[in-house]
Amino acid sequence: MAKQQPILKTDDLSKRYEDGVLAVDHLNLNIYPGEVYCLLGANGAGKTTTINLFLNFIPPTTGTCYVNGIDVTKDPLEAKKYVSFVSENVMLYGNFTARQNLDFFAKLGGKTNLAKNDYYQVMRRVSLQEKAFEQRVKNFSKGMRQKLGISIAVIKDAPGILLDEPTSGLDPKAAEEFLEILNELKKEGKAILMSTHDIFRAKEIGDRVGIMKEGRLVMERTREELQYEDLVKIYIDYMKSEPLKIWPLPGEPAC
Amino acid sequence: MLKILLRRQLVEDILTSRFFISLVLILSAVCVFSLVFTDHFQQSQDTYSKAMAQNDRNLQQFAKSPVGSLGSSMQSFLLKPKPELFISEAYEENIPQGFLYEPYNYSLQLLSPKEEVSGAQHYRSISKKENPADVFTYSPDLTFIVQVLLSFFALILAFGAVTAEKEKGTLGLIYSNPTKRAYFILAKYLSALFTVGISLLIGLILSLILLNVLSAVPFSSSLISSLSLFFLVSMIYLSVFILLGILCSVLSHRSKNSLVLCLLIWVFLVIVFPKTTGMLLTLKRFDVPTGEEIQQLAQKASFETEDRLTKQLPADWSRTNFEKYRHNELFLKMLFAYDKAHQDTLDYYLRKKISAVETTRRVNFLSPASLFEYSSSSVSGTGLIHFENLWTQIRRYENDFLSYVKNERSVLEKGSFFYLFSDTISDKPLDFNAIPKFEDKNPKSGKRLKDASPYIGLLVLYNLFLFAFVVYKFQTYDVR
Amino acid sequence: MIKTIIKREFLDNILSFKFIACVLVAIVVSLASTSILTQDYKDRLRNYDKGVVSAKEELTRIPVYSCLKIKLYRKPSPLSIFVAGIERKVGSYAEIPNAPMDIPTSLQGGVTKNEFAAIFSIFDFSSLIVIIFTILAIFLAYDSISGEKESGLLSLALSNSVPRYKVLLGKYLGALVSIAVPLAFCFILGTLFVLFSKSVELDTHFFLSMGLLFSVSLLYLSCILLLGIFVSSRTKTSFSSLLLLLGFYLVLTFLIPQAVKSYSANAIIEQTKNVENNLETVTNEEDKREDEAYRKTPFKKQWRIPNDFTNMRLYGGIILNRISSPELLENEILWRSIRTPIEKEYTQKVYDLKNKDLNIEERIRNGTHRLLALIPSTNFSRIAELMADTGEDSLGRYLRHVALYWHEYMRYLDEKGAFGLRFTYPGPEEQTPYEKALIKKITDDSTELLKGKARSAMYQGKYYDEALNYRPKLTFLNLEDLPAFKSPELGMTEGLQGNLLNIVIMVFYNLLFFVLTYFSFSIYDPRRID
Repeated sequence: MAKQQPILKTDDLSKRYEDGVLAVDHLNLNIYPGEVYCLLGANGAGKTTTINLFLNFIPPTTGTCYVNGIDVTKDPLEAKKYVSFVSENVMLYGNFTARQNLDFFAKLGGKTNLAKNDYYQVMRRVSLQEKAFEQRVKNFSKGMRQKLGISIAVIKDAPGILLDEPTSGLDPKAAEEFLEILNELKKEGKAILMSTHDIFRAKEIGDRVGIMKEGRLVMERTREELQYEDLVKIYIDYMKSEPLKIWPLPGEPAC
Repeated sequence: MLKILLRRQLVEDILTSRFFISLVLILSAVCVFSLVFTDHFQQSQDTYSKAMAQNDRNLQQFAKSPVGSLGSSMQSFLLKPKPELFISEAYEENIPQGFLYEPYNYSLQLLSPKEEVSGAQHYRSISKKENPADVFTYSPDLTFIVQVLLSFFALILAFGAVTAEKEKGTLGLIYSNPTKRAYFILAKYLSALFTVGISLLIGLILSLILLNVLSAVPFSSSLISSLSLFFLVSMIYLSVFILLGILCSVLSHRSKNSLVLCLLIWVFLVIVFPKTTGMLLTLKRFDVPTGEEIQQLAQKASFETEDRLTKQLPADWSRTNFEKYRHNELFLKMLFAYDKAHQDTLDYYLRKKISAVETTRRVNFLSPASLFEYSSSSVSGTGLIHFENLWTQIRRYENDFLSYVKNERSVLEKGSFFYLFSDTISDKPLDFNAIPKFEDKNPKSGKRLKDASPYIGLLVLYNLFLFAFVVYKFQTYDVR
Repeated sequence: MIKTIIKREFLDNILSFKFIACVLVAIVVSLASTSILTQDYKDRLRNYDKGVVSAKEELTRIPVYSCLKIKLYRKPSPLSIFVAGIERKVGSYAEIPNAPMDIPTSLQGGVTKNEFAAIFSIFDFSSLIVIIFTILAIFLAYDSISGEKESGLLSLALSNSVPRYKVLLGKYLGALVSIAVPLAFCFILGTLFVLFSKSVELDTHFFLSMGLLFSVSLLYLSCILLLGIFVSSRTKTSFSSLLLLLGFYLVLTFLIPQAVKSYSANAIIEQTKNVENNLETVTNEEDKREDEAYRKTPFKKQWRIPNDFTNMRLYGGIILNRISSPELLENEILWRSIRTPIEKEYTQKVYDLKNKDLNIEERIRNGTHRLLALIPSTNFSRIAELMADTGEDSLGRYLRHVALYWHEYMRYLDEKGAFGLRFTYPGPEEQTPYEKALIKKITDDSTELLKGKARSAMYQGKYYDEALNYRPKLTFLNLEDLPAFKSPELGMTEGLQGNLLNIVIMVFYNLLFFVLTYFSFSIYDPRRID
């Protein structure tokens, strides 16, 4: 396997909030092009904080985030050119149509010369119904809004994609469709970091899965490894209130 | 069930920072206004007592020599400054301040706010110096605090009544229990009413104390009765706004929309609407002649009367030899009619002006803020209604005064009229203390309530209508 | 990039309910206000024209200088349709009465015919902007930052490589354009309405002023927008930012100016009382001096007082004496020679006192205005009034011009001998022989009368009007050299000069709020709080 440069990388990243809570604890992540990395964890485990650190919404206490090799704190504007963001449950501009929203965010993302058909194409690609293209977003269902959200990421065409709990609240069909799109994007070579609760989907789509607990990455498994281990059991056992315990890989000595 | 809801709501309403901030705001407004009022009230009282002292001096001169001091026997009857002005100033300073009464020709002249009265000395003035009020002046009185500040506060309390609960998810929870929908609304309404009532009560008590301390206004029973009536009227007014807030809440699905709707309605009803309808007065149907034109019309009426009646006089009558006719009954009758025609014209136009204003006011009945303003001024006896009361009292006084002088000093046996001609009054001095004096009395609280009753009635109607509408709309409200 | 944001903000705003509702109200109110105020202006203009013509005509009917009554009419300013100011509440002319001893310190001839109308106020463009457009600005700005944070859109926008200041600028300019469009629409609507209503002639000054008024309004509203955006970037929720802004608005626009103005009004009344006291002192002094002067001479006061008060009514209220004998004439001349110089001195003293009073009043008012200029809304109202020439300053300026004219006019009258002797005589049937001879002398020889001591006379017959019919025989009046009164015109430069400080304050506020918002937004946390 050729050692590519990771698009999304954290180096010993830590974040302690003013009220003393340690949200991220010496996190080391490397997400390479063409892979989907699922970050699992309970509420408050640090998943959203990690994403916020990537986007430079908050400064890290120690450590660094790199996007495409660029330190996000040193050159945030440059770094943001290489990453797209799909947030959880975003309302978007209710009075505008889907296309108008897409148009606005495309322009913000730097793509200023697109035509109407380009927007339509992208929206079709994410399986948004045709008739919704020119409808006001405030009437959209949650699934439709999420699709529009991902289409915004698609049209920006950045090498890295950050998703914050994208399938929460979606019905199974919509979630499936959503993950289909992610798969396609992965095949195109995008590096995708997705935080989620959804163990089942994580297992399905994730090339790698990481579990965060109290800010630490306590477990990381690849898809192959998970074929032999029951992720669900691991996760549930894990979420029981037990002291921090690092699960060893099969074959590794317990420490 | 209602009690449970009510208790929870009360705790929520009173323990929020909203209540505290509003209370602080209201109390500081009361303090600032009291200071401003005190200063002003002192001056008004000084001016008024000076004018009354002048009246007394004139009467004393008149008493000493009823014939000799005829020219200076005029009295000025002004609106007496009352402490109730702090409750509702009602633009009393901007309307005519009263009348100038000249008994010898039965003349009652209107005094406009900046009238300069030249008495014996040229430059003596008893006016309030003109400081033209700005367009949106609200007088610094309690009515403003309730009409604008407290109504705003009431809306803030009530706008999220339903939508906030819905957004928190508790609305559905409440309705999973056997609660009547009307009780929910009632609990919100009563709690908000209680909260604003408490703030208002504290504000009123503070104002009473401040008035007593700062401007030495005594705790008179009339002031307390005015304040109580004012409190009653304010509660009815504020209840309208609480219901409006709840209504907006019921009509929207999100708090944001409800708030915007509430604020728009508030701006329209409290600020825009009452202040724009005044322009209707410039319409043709409310046209009245200018002051000078009215004087000319009055003069014309007198001349016409004179011409009509002198036909009955002997042919050698002329204005230059009227001396011969001093005791002629017809002549005296003509003189009396001459003055009466003059005064009647003035009275006619004054009445017309006042009714024009009252008719225009009727358009404002759509806005509860205007209804409140009118009822509060009626209840305090200030403003336009004060002026009308003054006018009525003066007319009564005129009769008393003239019949007194006639009974005491008239030498005329003939005729039921009275005319201060030098030969018709004996020059023996009058007793100054026995001459009836004019006093601007405050109408009793029963009368004041009666004056205010149409406005209060409309406000109550407003309340009932809104309440019914709210309950009706809420029946079909989606609680998810 | 910025253009994208501006365009989106603008479209988002104009599609929202709050915007549409506010703009509808604004349009309806501005139409109503313009139509009614235009009608009112036309009425006042008509009265002005009528007044000027009738004043000129009256001058031709006056027989002698001592009866000269000058009415100086003030032309209503066409901009008063949009900024009513106090023009509708003060009178329409300044009157310099006959035998003038009093300098006018206020205008007469109330424009508002119905005095009770004072309880209503007028909604003009200036209040439209201070009330409706300000509230619209608050509505547009209060959730510009906190609202987008709450909906997650801010995070989404900032995940792109667009610098924060561009986002901020885009929001601000978008809101500014959103509010400029309805504002311009209302202004154009108003101007068109005035243009198409007949009998209102407009000049370039008017259009220029309207343009300036529009720009100043926009400057003011921009200030409010920036304040709103700043507050939006400092509070946790949109709701609290809205409450804060509305609270500020209520307190700063209504409470504080009212309190300040009441204080200044009280101060002015105090001032008036001082002046009145001084006036009383001066009057008493004058009376004493006069009495002293009379005592030393053979003057008989009782020969001056009319015996019968009926003189007063029938002669229209002017008390004059009959000079039916030479002794009475001598008495009259004596009286005049003593009284006139004292009167003149007294007039000067009164004028000085009143002038001092007016100056102090003006100083108090200016102080108040300077204080109130710190509040954007009152600052704006003042700028508007100054531009439209309908504020208190313009009244003061007019009265000062009248005062200057009064001096000129006094000198003129003095030259013409208006302060000479006046007497009255009855109709031919009742004249005494002496009166007959006197009158004959007057009618024959109009300038030489009793060796130049008495200079004018007036006929008083059955009715005052009849006297005017005798004018050809008695007129001494020649008004060709009457000094003309130049009405002060508000030029463009003067208007701006007076306003300079206020406009600078407004610009300063804009910059201040923008800088504050810039810094506040650069540290703003865009994450949605769940």
